[in-house]
Amino acid sequence: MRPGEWARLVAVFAIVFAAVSVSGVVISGVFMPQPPSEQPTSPGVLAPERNLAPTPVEAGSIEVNGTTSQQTILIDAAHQNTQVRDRAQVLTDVLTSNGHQVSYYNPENKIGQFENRVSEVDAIVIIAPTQRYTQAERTALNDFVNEGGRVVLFTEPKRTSVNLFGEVTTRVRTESILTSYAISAGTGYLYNLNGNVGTFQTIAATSASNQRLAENVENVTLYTSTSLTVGDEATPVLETQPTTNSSTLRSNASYTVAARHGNVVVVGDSEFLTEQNYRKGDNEELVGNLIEFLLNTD
Amino acid sequence: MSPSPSGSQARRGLYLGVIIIALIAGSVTSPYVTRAVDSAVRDGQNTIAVIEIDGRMTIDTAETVSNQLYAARQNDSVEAVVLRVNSPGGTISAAESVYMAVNATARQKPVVASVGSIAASGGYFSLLPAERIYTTPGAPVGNVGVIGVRPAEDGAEERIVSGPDKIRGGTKDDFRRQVQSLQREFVGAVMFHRGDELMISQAQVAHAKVYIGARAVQNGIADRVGSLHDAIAYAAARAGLERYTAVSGSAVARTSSTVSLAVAAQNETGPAALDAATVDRRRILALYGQSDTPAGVVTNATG
Repeated sequence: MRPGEWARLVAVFAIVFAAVSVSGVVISGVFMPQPPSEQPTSPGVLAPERNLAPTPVEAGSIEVNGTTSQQTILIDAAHQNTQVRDRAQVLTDVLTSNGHQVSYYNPENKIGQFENRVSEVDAIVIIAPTQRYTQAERTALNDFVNEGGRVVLFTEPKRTSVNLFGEVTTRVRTESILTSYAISAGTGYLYNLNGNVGTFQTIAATSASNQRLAENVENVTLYTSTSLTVGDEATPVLETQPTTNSSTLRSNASYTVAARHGNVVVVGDSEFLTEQNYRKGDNEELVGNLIEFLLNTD
Repeated sequence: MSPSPSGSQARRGLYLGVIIIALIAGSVTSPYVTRAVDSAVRDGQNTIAVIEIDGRMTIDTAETVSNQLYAARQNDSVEAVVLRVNSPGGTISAAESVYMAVNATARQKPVVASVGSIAASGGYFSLLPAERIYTTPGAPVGNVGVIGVRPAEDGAEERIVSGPDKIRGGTKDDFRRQVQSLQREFVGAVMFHRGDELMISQAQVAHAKVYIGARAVQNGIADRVGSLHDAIAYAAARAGLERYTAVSGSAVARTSSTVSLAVAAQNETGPAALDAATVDRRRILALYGQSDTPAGVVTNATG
């Protein structure tokens, strides 16, 4: 072979060798990188079926059993009671439709009037008063109860809100009334992060005794409740699930949220009474039982 | 004198033999060449993208961060991403957007988080998919929860609306459920990404406490006390890099050959949710601290 022929052979070898060697580089994408394909970015953590809160069951109506002659129920609205009209509306509707009289107590000048009014009525409803009762009013209330009059008192935890002037704390003033009935109310709210039925302050409660007041009440939904401490002379009516916590105590326990002492019943929440909330869970059963208690047909 | 036919055939056979030998030799050396070229190319491009999540998060800032993360995913020279977080959170939708972008990035490249001054609420939500969270010892970290703010009852001026929920967006009950749903999502994300590291229960997470960095490392909310440089070094180690360059996320987005989403982002955003003082509307925030609007439903138990 001639020298030129050898050179051509070497050139052919070099070209083919180089082409094959570099083909791996080209094929591997070093010189032609493909952008990684985008994966769906919504992981299972955000899946709606995993996170969406269920809609609470709303069913039933308030039934008032037992018969009685027409009675007059006084609803206290004179002690800066929290949203008393909204919260008493369902009670008012049911009592009125059952032939009873409902009267709101909210005089311009209340000096001496409360004592006079309580002697004219059969039962009293007190909803979250933020103004303290006078000594004379407390005495009149005690006399009323001792003479067989019935009282249902709804209390609530301390509330903090913010307005233009800063933080405002609203405290319910029921302690001086409750001490007469071996019941005291906490200042903190209850919450449950392990099985609440709304936000953390929406908690479930169930019957704590076999009293008539707790009949058919297996699953009450309370919205902003405080705990009650009950002495020997009083009886717990409703209690929370054991996973319930207190904002002040910060410990899990089954807290009492409704209790009875003779002719007085105390409930740690009043928001469950509103038209939006009274049909949640067994709330309507509880409201019915409280009305029967007021009417003394229980 | 012309070559004889037998001489031509011999030459063709010789060329064919040389080609076959070259093919075989090339095939043998090809993997080595590929590796060498690959290494040489990468040595010049090893990059750690440092993407910042700064201040209160709105959908605008979320889009910026998401675009930078998208660019980092698309850019082969970016081997790992470090999220530098200095944010108390913001709107829940902003936090969710960044979370999804971080999650997508973490599936492709190592993502490491570095907390500078604060990573609370939505700021913490955003970095959850990171495989390691570095924090300074005093930085507030955690605050897993949402705040719902609902407009007050109308009455300031006369309006005609098309439906009972037009102004407030739904009933208080509806709003409660929305807040609860988003709380579940946030707490669920924490348990999903950090459940194995956490020394506190799901209920304790849901309390929405904020921890200082040192405590957060102790209870598993974060992983290590460390600086941004520690985070970058770890990200580089995870990407197998000995020599690297750290570049900002904005630089990655600028130099990326892929589509810039900046224009699209402008089209998708409205007024920044936290700065909209003129419209009082329902908002759900993943924010540590007070919102601008006093009225609202606050879910944090510490509130």
